[in-house]
Amino acid sequence: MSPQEFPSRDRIRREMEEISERESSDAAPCLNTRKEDAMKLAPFVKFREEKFGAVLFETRSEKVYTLSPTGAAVVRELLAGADGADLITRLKAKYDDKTGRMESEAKAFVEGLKDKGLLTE
Amino acid sequence: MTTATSADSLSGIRSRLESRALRVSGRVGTELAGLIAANGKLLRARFALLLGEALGVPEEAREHAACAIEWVHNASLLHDDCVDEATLRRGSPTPNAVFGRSVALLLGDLAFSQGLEEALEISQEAANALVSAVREMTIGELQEEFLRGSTAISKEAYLGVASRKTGALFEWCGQVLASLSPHELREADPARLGLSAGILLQAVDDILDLSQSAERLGKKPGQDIAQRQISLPLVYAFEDSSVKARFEKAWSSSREIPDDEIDRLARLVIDSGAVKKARETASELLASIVAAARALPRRPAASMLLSFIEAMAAREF
Repeated sequence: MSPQEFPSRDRIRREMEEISERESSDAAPCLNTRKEDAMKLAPFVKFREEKFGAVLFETRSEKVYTLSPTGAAVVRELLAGADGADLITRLKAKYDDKTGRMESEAKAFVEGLKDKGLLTE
Repeated sequence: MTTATSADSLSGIRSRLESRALRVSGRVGTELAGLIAANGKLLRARFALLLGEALGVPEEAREHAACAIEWVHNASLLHDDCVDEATLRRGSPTPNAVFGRSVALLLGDLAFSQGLEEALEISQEAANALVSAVREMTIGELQEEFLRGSTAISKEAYLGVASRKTGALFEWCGQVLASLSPHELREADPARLGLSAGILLQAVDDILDLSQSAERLGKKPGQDIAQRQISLPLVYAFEDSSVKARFEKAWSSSREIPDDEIDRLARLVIDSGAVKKARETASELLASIVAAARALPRRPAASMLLSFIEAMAAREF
């Protein structure tokens, strides 16, 4: 890259504003007083909403897990303070799930996260 | 500020920091080695000692964690002062002001290495985790650097940056101490507690920068405004379009902002109610810490930890 091609400071700042919004969920659990039966992402697991979709990033192993739209919706609710009991209720209130498909996908997704050690109770 | 940590524990930490600095003093000079272990408030060390006690972690490991976190924090301060071209810290001239930027940067590198050595005294895993924490911390610092002059940041995005810049190191402390606890930690989440405490500390620093005098702070107030740096009160202040427009005008020029203009902008932020809102967010963070501390296995030590964090949140310098 030649010096003429370096992005301007303003352009980098705008890009950083977008990046920091995408990474804004990192502090979310700190503003929710945790309920006794709340589920939460394991330490060092970060949620990222990238341009291509949502991912979970395990920062120690540097493993990246691409999430389905249902998976992303589940993680958003968990970060917003949903617990095991009201997770599905919250999802149903926000999304049209007449067939019950989202509910079953969400339950399977949560179990998968627990199996991988990405979610703790 | 009052503290729940015993004076003996803290003097033990100071001795450990000094003795590790003395290991390198013969090669870089006693005066320079002393600068990387300069006296500070040791807030992070106190946090580590108290959290470790509340988790039942053996004293030796608690002290290594306390020293590691202080070394890495000192390293980041040395580098921060170079980035910000700060001339005063804790009421004393900064190493970059006295010896120049190159020496201060290298002292910072040295301090990082000392922190890693302390973490290795705990375990290889603790050192690996510290490397990850330093990476996150540095990413947070870079994000903050690239966001200089931004008036378009949400509260959530700001807190995300703070979680990396200041929270990651506290999170590391909670994670490592939890792994050393002899108790089964069913409900307790020390890593999250640490993350919240780190963000809280950053929020309080941001508030103090606008609300305290130079005498109390040991440096000029309004530095976030002068440095065009995002801070929690400023994020709230920019919700008011007229305040935002004033800052956009003041920050659009590359010239140094005069002191009287900084004072006017600071007054504008305070009058907008932004500092009050920032305090409310700090209270929310504190509430989540209180809830998390209730789940720690050793209640008397957990109460001492809470008293300490409450004092940290209420501090005036």
